[in-house]
Amino acid sequence: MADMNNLSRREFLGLSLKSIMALMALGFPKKLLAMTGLDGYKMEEHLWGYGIDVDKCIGCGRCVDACKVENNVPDEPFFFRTWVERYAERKGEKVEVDSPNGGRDGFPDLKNKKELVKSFFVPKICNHCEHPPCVQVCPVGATYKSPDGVVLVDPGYCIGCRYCIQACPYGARYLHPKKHVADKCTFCYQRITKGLEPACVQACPTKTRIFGNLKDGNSPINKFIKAKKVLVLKPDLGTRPKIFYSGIDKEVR
Amino acid sequence: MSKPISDYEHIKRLLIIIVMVVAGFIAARTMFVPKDFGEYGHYRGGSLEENMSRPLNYAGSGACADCHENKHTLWSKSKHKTVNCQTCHGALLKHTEDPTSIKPRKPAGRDFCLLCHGKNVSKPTHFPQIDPGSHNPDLNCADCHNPHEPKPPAGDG
Repeated sequence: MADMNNLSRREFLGLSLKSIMALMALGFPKKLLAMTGLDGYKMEEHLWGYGIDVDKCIGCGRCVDACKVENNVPDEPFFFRTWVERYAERKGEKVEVDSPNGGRDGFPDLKNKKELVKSFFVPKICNHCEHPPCVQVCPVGATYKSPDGVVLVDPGYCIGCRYCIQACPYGARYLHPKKHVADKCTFCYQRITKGLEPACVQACPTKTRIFGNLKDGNSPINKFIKAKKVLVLKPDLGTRPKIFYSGIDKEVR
Repeated sequence: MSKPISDYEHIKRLLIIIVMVVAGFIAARTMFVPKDFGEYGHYRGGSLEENMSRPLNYAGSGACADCHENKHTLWSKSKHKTVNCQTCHGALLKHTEDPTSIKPRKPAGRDFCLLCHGKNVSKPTHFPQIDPGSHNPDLNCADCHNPHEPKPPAGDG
């Protein structure tokens, strides 16, 4: 130990740094590992996943309607937790995408069918990424990935900075016009933790939407993934989505 | 001119300031950061329970059968068996708790049926669709088709 009355600058700075680190270590929050027990629902036994069978979607918009009703999403035609897009590919590789009122009122038939190569509906929803960019950018810890793999918002903690809305590559978030906090699909967390299906899955008349526990080999989602050739949106971003699409075209982003 | 202070005194004063700043930080953190923050990760653990306990509007898919047995039996063998009761009749959790509180919605006319069955080039071709302009434009769908057991009306084959 150096003589306390004759410290070099190096010794002094080193000692100061060590003192600060020791004090910080004392106040560091403990990480609790237990994840069980909120009303008997065991988070660690679940990892939620979702499938979309595009070949079955008829664009009726019942999912969009059910989502808005179940989750009290504002009625205005630009706030959605889930919505349906219509892709129309025309000759010369022209692609049109539209989603009038998110598809909630259905879709009027396409007018100009002569140049049409193909057209189909694609339901969209939060991808509940394994590596969610929205969570990464939140400055206050108001959005997070739950232990069972659902990306959720803490409205009491959100400061409404909109950073997550900018960061989401799938456009799945919006700012609630009255609460002034970010809002998004929760897989109907209030339902799935009670053994019910998300409202959109339950409302779908053609079984386009499939939901289940990825940790359960016999769940509908695992059966779907085994039976179909599935893709995720924008895999190049490394977000590792948990929405698995079957039957989408190369144009779908 | 006063006597210069010793190196030891320098460190002592600096340490006091550092300790005060760190103590202030810890005190402020304890005061402002909720107790459950960091319980599972960099967020408020209690938020999970809050998300779980939000109110529901739709009942589970099995809820209707208990009271509406006849309709349920008919429907469960029909081509509409993949269509949930509440897809047409609205969100009815309140109705299952108190049947008089709200009544199921009963879609009338043609518009609701056409959301699914209106002809549209973007729909899968195997899905049953009609052209509303040429398919009995003056009739309601339910005049000929029972929505709980849809099939072509007698005589149409």
